[in-house]
Amino acid sequence: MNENNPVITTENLHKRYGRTAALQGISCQFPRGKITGLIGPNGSGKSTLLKLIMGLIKADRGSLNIMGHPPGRKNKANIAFLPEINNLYRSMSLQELIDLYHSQFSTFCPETARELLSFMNLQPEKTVKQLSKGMVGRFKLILTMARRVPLILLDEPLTGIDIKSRSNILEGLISKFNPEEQTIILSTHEIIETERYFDHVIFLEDGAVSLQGDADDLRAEYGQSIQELAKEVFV
Amino acid sequence: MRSWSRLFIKDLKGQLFLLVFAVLLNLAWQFFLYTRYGNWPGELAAGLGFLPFFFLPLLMLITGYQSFREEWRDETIYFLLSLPRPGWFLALSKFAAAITSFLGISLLGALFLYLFHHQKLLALMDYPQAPPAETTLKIMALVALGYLAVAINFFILGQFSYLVSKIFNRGRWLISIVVFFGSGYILQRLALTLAPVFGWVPPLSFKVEGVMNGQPMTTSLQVDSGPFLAGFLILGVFFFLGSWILENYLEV
Repeated sequence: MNENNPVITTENLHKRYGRTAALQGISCQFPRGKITGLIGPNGSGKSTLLKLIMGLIKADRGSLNIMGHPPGRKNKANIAFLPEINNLYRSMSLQELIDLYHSQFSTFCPETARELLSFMNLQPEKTVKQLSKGMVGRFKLILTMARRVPLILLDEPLTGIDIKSRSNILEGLISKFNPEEQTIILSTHEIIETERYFDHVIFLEDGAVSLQGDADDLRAEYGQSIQELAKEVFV
Repeated sequence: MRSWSRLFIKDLKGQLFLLVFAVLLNLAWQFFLYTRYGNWPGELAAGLGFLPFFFLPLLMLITGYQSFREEWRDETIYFLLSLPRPGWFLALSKFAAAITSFLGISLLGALFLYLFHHQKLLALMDYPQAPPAETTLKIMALVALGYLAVAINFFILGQFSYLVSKIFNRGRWLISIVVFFGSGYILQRLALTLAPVFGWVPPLSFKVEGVMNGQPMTTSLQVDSGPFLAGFLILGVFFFLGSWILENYLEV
């Protein structure tokens, strides 16, 4: 049922930045209600694809269908996006940012945000500029996961977070994931910590899909883990 | 409404430093001039008191230009463009915040002028009696309205020129300058062309009463509404065009 009704479908998607081709004809489907790992080395087009889905950039060619609509304002209310960069207002406190998100997104749940804030050991009165890179990463995750939306896009969510805490944080966040109503697309090149959460995997290389499929099927077919498979694909 | 007001408060807080800085600078300037009475010709000290008001529209131009430039520079544009809101909604909160700051700086500037120079000016004018307060207020209101119109004009065209320049990858400064002056020219030409359309709107009339050389004086001012209304209409078009570019054309 999920594969017949994908949450996102892309066809022959192209995107250039000046002379650099970021996406070169991507065609893929993201199954509904699953966690899809978007895997690829730096510059493979992962962030570009997520930004296209979020409507933050425009495709040069090809089509993109998100929950039955093209990218745009209508979709933005239904997508929570965690970008790789720090997109937070530096002078605002964490509490102010939670209030700001609450005022902008009807899907934002401040109780969940406060609960996650405590789980991540972050103090709401601190401002963003007082936080370390890892703390900013955690807080961005909180703001994203506190939204009850059908589609969650996480672009390199573990950037800056220390290796020791990653597993614990991922566990806590995935516990908020509701596969009946939500879909997660997680872009990463750090597969060790995230592999076990993937239901579906799309490998990107040089702006094109090099391999895609159900994570378990790929493991069975190639007889190796997704991490080992990635090493082979990206050699 | 709540979502807009939160954005407005955020944008207003973003201008707080500029607001405080401009007010303190003006205060220091007026105090300095106040200490110059007796050393400098009184007319010079009093006249220079108005100097900060000439810079405020320029400040609005810079604020308009920077309003979205800062969002791109700080990468907070990722947040703004992720919001399920139309472009005008985002641009309007910045506009309202800038106008609020402008009014704050201007009103405090007028207060400083009054406190530091009013009595000195009256003494310089050698009036047998002070002009009625109502006259002073009328003149000030008229000047303030024109001044506000200039500020709004500068802000919107500044913001528009930045948003247009952002479409291009190179030569943004040059494009901004060309778009600013070009849109200003188009605004002026179109306002004059469209003015007759608003011929049915009654003119703005002002009657100013005062004292000149010891004699009572009445001056009637009449300003055609047409060019102003047409100008504001076209300015609105530039505002919405910029907002449309922001929402539909620009990328993070």
